[in-house]
Amino acid sequence: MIEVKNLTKKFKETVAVDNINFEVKSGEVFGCLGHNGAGKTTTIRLILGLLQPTEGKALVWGKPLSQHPDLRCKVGVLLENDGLYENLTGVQNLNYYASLYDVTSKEEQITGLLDFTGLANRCNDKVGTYSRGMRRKLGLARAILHKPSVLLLDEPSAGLDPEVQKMVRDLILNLAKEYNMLIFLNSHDLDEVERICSRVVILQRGKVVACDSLVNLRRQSSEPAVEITLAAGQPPQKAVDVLSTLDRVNRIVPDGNRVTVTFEKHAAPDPLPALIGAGIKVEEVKKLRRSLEDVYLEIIHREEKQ
Amino acid sequence: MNRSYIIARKEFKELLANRSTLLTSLGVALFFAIVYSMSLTAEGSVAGLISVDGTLFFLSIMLGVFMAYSLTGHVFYKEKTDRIIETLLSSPATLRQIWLGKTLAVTLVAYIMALTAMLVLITIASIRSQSFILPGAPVLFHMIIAVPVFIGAFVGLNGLAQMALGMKENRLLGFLIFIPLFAGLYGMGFSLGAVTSITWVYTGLVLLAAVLLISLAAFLVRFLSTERIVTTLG
Ligand SMILES: Nc1ncnc2c1ncn2[C@@H]1O[C@H](COP(=O)(O)OP(=O)(O)OP(=O)(O)O)[C@@H](O)[C@H]1O
Ligand SMILES: [Mg+2]
Repeated sequence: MIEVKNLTKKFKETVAVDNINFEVKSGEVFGCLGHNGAGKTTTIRLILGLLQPTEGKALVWGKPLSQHPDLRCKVGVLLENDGLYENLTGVQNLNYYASLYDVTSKEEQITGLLDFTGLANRCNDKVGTYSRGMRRKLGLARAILHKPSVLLLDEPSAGLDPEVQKMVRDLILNLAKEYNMLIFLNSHDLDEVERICSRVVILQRGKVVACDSLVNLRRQSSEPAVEITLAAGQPPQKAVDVLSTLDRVNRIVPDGNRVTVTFEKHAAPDPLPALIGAGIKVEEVKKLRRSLEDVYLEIIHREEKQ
Repeated sequence: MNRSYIIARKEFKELLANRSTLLTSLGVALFFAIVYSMSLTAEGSVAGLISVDGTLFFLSIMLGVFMAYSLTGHVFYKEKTDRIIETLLSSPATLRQIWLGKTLAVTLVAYIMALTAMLVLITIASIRSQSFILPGAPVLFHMIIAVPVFIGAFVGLNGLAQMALGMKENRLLGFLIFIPLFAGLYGMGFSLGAVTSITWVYTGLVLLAAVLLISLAAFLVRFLSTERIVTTLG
């Protein structure tokens, strides 16, 4: 399990990570989100003990990894760089790391992972000849080779095609579920995070601006929205006029015969009676489920205004 | 299995897989071996200026260090510029094990190449003078014991510096080491080779210096931190 307590990291004047706090438990898939330069990679490096905190601490199983090499045996990492040697073949790379991590039944484990990642037929080629996606896959295989209990991933699916992205997502979910693995991942890909993470922390300029389960984040931040589909031939402008007279409306966006209305927080939208009262025929009123992207952007913008 | 050994084995394999570097370095070593062999006979040089022992004594150490110089960057600094070092530092291997493993691998390969060059030198000189040239006992001891230890000390210190320094400093360091090394190989060889007899004192001094330097390197490793390495990536 990971504990991050009052963690601060300064590089000269830059405060890369600014007094952040969170905890992650086994079996959790935990996402760390934020714009470029928000401090995600620095946070992972601090957890791994590659960097020393300026203040506070980052602990895994209650201890700093920098001082406990033995604990690092149970930690897997895939950083921005795949950690592979171009002059060695795929198998040689995996063999090397398997030895470093004291993996028992090396051969079996390596063959299994090569089959799983679909790299078996290229495994005796030098990694220098692999494509970006193949390297990332091999890097992931390398990271889970020793069946770690904690897996730290820095943008795991960057540069992968949609099919492989799905493979990576399924793998992550499976690892968390079957092996009760703790998975901490940095990502820009909100869609991916939404599909696999149970909890997220959002960083902005090194600070935590939100840390909660996805369900709670949606609930808290939600400005409720509805999408109204007008019956054929109905003038959208008239509907917009009617809708703008409603209470607590934030935004109205017409698009063809559809109108999206966003309300203020905690409002209970019910636009139908007003529309019917004005004689407008409506085909469908749909409550919109807000994506993580909406929630993320809302939180980031709200913080920026403050 | 010991992690230093695992790392050494992998670096050794990778050095061997890097044909172009290996062949270039070996080419340089053989070039010098041939050049020096041309002026050697069983009695020393034609003009009587250079002794066999003096040449072997000097050249074995210079070539060994030169080979090590050409390989160290591929094993230590390249891992930083490629940013692979972060993954390695996250593994259970400690900094000391990493340093030791890499030092061993480079030392071994550099020593084998230097030794090959010396054998070529002795062979050519023997053929040219039509008599078997055999160095004295102190020089043999020097080539077999002192030279590898000295190469190890050089690799250990240079590798340590490469791990600790950033890109610009590393370039400067490489330059600063290269100039005297190359100058030494070219010119000073003949003047040092002029020492007619190599005694155990010479050999002993080199070995002592090597042991001191390697101890210094091993001591300095404790001051190297992962943070230092990670914040000076290329
Ligand atoms: N070694 C360093 N020296 C100086 N500043 C650094 C160093 N490493 C990171 N920073 C600074 O710390 C801040 C956070 O960087 P970090 O790499 O953690 O961001 P990130 O969230 O991972 O960004 P990205 O999404 O682009 O990967 C940035 O302003 C960066 O410039
Ligand atoms: Mg990053």
